[in-house]
Amino acid sequence: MSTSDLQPFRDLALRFARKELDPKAIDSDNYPFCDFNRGAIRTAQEAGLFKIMLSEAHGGAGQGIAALCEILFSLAKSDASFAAIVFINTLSKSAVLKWGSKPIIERFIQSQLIAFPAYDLPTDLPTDLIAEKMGDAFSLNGRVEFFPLAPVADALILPAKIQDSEVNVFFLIDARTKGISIGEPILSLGLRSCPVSDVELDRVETSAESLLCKDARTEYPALTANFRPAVAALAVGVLSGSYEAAKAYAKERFQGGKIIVEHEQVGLMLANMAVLTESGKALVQSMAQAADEGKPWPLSDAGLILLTEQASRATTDGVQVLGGYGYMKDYGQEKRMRDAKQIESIFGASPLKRMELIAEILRQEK
Amino acid sequence: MKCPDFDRDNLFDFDDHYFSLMALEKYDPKLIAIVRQNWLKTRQFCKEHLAPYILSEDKKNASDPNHISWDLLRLAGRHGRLTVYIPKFLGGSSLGSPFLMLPDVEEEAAVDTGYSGMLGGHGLGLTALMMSLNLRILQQVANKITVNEKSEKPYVIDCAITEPTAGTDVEEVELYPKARLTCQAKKVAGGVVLNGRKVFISTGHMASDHIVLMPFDLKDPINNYGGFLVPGNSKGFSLGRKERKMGHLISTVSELIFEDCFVPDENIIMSTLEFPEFKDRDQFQLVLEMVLGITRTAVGAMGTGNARGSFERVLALAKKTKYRGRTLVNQQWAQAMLTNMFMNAMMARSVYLEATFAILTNIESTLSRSIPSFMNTEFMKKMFNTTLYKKIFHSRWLRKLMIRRILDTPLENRARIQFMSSMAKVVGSDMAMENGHLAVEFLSRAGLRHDKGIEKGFRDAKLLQIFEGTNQLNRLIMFKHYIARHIPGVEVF
Repeated sequence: MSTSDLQPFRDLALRFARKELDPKAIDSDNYPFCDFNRGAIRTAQEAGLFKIMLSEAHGGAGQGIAALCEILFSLAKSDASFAAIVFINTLSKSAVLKWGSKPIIERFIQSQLIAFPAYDLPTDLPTDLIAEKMGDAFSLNGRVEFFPLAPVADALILPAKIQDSEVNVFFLIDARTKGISIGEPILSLGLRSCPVSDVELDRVETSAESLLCKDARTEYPALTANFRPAVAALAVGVLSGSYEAAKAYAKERFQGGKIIVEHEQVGLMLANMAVLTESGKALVQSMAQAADEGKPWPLSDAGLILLTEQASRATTDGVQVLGGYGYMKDYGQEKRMRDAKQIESIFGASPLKRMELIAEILRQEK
Repeated sequence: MKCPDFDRDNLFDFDDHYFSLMALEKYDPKLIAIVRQNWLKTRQFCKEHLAPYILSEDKKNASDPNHISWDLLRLAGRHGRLTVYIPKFLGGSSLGSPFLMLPDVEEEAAVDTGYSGMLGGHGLGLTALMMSLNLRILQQVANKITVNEKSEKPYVIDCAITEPTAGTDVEEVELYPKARLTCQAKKVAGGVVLNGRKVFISTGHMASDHIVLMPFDLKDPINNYGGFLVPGNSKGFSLGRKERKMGHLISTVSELIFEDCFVPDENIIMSTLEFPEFKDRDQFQLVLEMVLGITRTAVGAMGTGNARGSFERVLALAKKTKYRGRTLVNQQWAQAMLTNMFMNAMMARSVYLEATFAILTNIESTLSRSIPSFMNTEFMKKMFNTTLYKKIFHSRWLRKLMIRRILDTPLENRARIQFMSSMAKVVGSDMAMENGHLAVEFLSRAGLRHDKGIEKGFRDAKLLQIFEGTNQLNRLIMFKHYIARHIPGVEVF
């Protein structure tokens, strides 16, 4: 899906996926009933997959959203959970760089994994965590639900509300801070090996320094606007994997005296997947380009809705093409269907994204 | 505008939903009273006894692929759920409406579609036995189910049709000649020898005995078919792997392996060798059609239940979830989306009920009606176990009479059952899948986590579009039995 200057990133991700993800994707999907795949995380880290968007000063590749999308697409084709880890971690590191003070950046930027509330609607952040101001410091009380990467992260970017105000903020805190209890990993619909848990905070004292973003309500949506193409890349990556698997199976399996790809109902399902995969790739590319040019709106918002919704429907057909085998874990097709559905909820529920989109369009026309 | 606050626990009450059945009450008050009574019993069982175990059992199966939900099977047995569709004269507890039992299936599936799948193999096996009209084996199996129902290892059966290289092809008679079948039965002195592998068999690892369908001749399977009762301890029979799948986790789906497995003559349920005079009268085709006609309608009810369950669970959470400070149920978009889910469930139900009526009005058999009350008593059960009655009811003469009678069902009647049951299956499963999608979309975070039960409905729904013939095959079946009848010479399949 890329222009030629992004080719090295695609190759890097494909090599990594073939070696580290393809053989283990189905097994590591048993998480939380198996170990977290730390090995792949370490290898990815060494390969620089987590640092694509970090500046060269921080040891990164200094790339933009387009390169990230390229990588996420290729990883998601093999294992969307792993791609989601890369996505969330890149998002959290960008937040640290954008909002952090120098000491904070120095302290956290090399952390392996930083948790970030990626399943929340950016314009309607959760308010179950209350920050009470105590002189220069804060005391945090409450909970953050369904917090991705929390069970495996070194640090957490927590959405909170300042007590007795309507102000939403983020805090960046070491995951081992006293008073933080990270719940058992949650069994979720999809992206199972991108661990999620509820986090409880009981009188967690933190310095003013760890207040990462003083006005999340206006600053956070701006940050996510740039990352919407990345979520769309995850969706199209899974879809593309599902399409390839369905096509390969349909060329092998006999039913009714012919290979099933010759049954037109099967052919049409594959055609629909092809339509979405091919146009999806191009759309992600345009979205990424717009984001890199600093003008993500409104294409990123619209494209995200279209592609995540369509991918979740089309991967459902991806299972159908394989019939009973599609429903079994062995072919990885049911995993793709679950993963795509979960990706649809990144940055909030789909109908809410639609309402936010039209509200913003109308606001701008005023 | 505020609405009066009804008791929401009674959402989907009988009076709100089964209008066609209530209209029938005028003509057959007793039958509908029985349906309602059955339904109430099932609903109570599901709410009070089944619901508390559903998520923990689903999770146990997710964490350990070799886990088998014996606890749930025992629970079902303790509450008499394994004999609920077996009439009293055969030892069961059915109040006497075998064809109007689908509201119960819907009720079970609304709580856990996997549970209705767990007993689905058992139900399919029983349906196949009933349709084979082999009263001797039916009575024998029914007795075992009844006697062992409350024991530590309840007796259930399954029904093995699908083969590794033939799924869709064995779900439709016209595709049999093209099917890549590998399983084969061979007649030998005193019995038959079975060879081959059956896959995706529901209830397999739970079943004590297995109903197995296999042809005698792979070149002309449809005219040389047999059905066999294979005891689980038969030499040459073994259970293969328990499949790991996306949903329906409490329902075991198994591989059955037959290696020179000998089955004695008395365990042949039906066979085209039995009455040579019926050989060219599509006896097997009719049995398969009838079985699928009933079970596909049941899948429609399962889909309706699944769609409804998703709706009910979403509604419960929507009452507590907020968007921009306002409760979801107070927002117009949410109200419209919830209403769509409600409509989907209602549409699915309309079709499976109509399909039920298609079965009731198109089979000329005593089995199609409610069982007359004089038959459905403990007294008749005793009579049935006397030697004299057994002699009559197990006789070759009666069996032949019943088979002839059912073979005489006019082709139009058979076609009506086929297209309506396929429609119930397709609409029910599509609505289930649609509501699964809507439910997860509606709630996002809460919809994704196992402990809220929403994502389970989504995972469970998908199987319904696949088994009992994929929805793609079922569309062609509807075309064949409805549209093609009006277009002479049109080619189907």
